Amino acid sequence: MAGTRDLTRLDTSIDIDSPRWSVWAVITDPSYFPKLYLDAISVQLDPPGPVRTGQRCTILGKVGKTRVEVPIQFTTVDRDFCLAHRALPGGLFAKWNQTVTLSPRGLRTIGRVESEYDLAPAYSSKVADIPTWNRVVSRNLLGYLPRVKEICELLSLPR
Amino acid sequence: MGGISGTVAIDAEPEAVWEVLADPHYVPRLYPDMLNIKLEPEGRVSAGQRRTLTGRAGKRMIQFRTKVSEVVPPKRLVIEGCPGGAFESFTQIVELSKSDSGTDAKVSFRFKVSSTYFGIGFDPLTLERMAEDNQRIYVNNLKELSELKRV
Repeated sequence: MAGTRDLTRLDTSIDIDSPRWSVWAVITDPSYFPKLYLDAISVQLDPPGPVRTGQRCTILGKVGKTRVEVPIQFTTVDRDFCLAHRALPGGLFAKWNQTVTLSPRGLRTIGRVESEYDLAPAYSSKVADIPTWNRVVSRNLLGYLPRVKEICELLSLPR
Repeated sequence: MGGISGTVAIDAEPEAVWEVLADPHYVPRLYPDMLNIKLEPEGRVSAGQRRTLTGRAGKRMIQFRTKVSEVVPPKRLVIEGCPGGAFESFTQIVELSKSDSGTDAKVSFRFKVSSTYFGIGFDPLTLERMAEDNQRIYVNNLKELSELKRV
């Protein structure tokens, strides 16, 4: 398992042609989660309803042909500014902390995501190809902001 | 009027396929251009449940509404469109039957794009093709998600 216990850190940012409140509405609407993470399939919130601090969320996803669960808990929900969560035990990650911060730039928004993660030993011990799993996870996390941007920049139909 | 129909062999029991159909939160994952879904009432599929779906057509955000009209677990699901959205009419029927290798899923879509909703400047044939592409991928995704294995 050498190499699997190292924490992977990612830090990305993106310029979104959409106001901050609009970006915030997308990143805090769990029904968008399957579109924000490439390999997410669905989400379940406990308790249901709008995202709030302390709320738990289980993201169901896939890695190749394998179904995985990622339970998380929102640790910071600071409206229009910061959304952070951490992974809970029992899922794909031993550790996954992610912080999304939004900064206004005129009518545009700069989104930044800082992530650090480590696969759970329970998964690592059962999965033969750890580098592939790490690649899939990184691809999902790196793809988050471009997907937020794509959705936020969609236009309404002309009326 | 557009639409597709066909049967796909799924390497999973009908109950596993039904799990994917019965959880509406899978819907944005099943259609590539669907972004999210709002339910009334919340929860698993039930007859009469109304759904508001937000999706994209090119760089435009669109919406349409549907209603679950028939639920026979784990055999048959029928969803029909409601007025006022991207489709003037919409019917989706999924029928599951047990087979030697797992499940045969017979899926059919029939729809008509609403020219009133899109207005001038949109080519109805292009929109129809986009919808049909989504429906074809829906069938492939239904198979893929139903066949996922647990660690």
